[in-house]
Amino acid sequence: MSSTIKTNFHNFSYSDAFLISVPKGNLFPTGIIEEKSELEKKAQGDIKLNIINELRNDLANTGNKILKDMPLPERFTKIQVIDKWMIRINSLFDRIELEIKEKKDTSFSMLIETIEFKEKIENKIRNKKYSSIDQLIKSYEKKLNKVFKTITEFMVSIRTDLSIMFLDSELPSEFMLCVSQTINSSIDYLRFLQSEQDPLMLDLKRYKSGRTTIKKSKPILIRIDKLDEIHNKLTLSLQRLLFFIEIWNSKSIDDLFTDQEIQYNIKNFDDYQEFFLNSLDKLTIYAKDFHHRVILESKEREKNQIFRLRNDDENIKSLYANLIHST
Amino acid sequence: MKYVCFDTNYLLAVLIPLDRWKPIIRLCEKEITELVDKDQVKVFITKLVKTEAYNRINKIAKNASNHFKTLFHKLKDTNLKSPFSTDSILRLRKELQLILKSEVDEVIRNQLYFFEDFLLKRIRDFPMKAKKIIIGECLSEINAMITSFDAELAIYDLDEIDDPQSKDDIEKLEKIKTRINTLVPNFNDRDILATFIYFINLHDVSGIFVTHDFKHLLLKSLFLEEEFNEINIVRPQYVKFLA
Repeated sequence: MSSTIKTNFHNFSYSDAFLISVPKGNLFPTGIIEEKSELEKKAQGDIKLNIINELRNDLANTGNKILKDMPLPERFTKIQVIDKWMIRINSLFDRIELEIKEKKDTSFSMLIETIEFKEKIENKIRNKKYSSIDQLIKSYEKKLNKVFKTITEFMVSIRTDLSIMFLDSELPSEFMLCVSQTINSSIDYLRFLQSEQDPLMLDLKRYKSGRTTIKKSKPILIRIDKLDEIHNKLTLSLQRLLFFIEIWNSKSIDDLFTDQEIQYNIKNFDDYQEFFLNSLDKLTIYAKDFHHRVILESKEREKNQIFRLRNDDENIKSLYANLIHST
Repeated sequence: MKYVCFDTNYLLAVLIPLDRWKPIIRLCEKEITELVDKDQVKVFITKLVKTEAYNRINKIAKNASNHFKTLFHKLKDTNLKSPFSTDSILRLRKELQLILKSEVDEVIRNQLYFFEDFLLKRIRDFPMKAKKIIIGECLSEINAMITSFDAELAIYDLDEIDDPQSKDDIEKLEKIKTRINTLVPNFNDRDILATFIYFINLHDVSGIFVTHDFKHLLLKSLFLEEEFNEINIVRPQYVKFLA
């Protein structure tokens, strides 16, 4: 977990980024809409551990996606990297499972717990069994508030960590521009999701009382689902980029998977410096495009005020204005 | 209906105004919004206005990245994991002065002063934070200006004027540029103004070009208006009276 006390960014891409890439839209009751009927087939039991298992089972797939067509230095083979990567992630999941069993309130287990509450509500609604649903919705709402706040803080700390990684490196300023655009787009997406929380909860409560149907929420849930797909691609691309940097800046496979000081330098990419710069460029454009989609979506919902700079800290606003207008 | 076009500086002033400009900017914003709501005016920017605005912000972010990186490396021997102390603040000041001294570009030097202010404010607000975290957070915040600007721009629904594509239209635009040539020496200002004049001619409407640039545009506005009857080149406060 990111703590901003690390000396470098080693191992960021396989633990912290995994947390930020968990689909945020899945925090909402998207399972209620027809398109998500596969959720009905989900095995009952401990939902939290089921979710962890799903993520764990999807590991090889994620690893392959991250490493797909990635040029590797001669000192590494793809199989070697994936194997070691899976061992590392599996041990991370072991730790999370333990935390859940020990009921430790880490940000990851909190996130999983929120999804658990959401799924319980979805199951009850789907099966028209409304016993104790009020209490569940209340707890879910509370968890949701907390989880959005925690993830936002967490992402801000990752943003700082990446800035420190950049400051301590010989990477070009385009790297800073790229991660900043990606993470800030992601933070704005979270803000948008948060702004949708109250109307969705209201609909959920009304639905239960029989006064309306969940169909009122359906269009926005479908749109969030679509945005989530793009957001996942965005975070996957960020993981891919960071992993690429880690690989080319590590001298050996052991260096790659142990916490060691790494001197990140564009020269370490050898013949792939151009590839690196192109990847930065592509990701920056993709992040910008995603950000525009989120803004358009919030405009559609008449919630564009949430992004206003006017809502920000006075010091930041003055700084921006002074910088822009200094001549 | 009249068409209104903002130049780059005015667009930036509307989106991210200086504190002392806020009362007048907000007043004009309100007036123009009312005119838009009543369908009396439509507000545009040219492609180059948008590009110039983005370029200016990207440049600031790039300067900040380079500047903070230099500072970070210069402070490395002071243990970056520890908070700033009196000694390390004096060292910070010294390093910042040296960076400033070696910077020849006056605009960047001004930016450096603002970076310094921000950095010192953060140290004052969070005296227990490690040096590297303070510097990293400052850099992140400055880089966040790009997404903030994006969001602000999107809120205003400003239509963008496309550059002409056909040979005939390009020629028309070039002719306008030639007529402006001697009056507006700055290449981009000339390009932006000419594109807007071309656009209002195309739609057979009159236009209001909004700027607060005295040196290059407002001082020449009477000559320009004599050359192009279809346009007024004014400060934002005049829009309400001319619409």
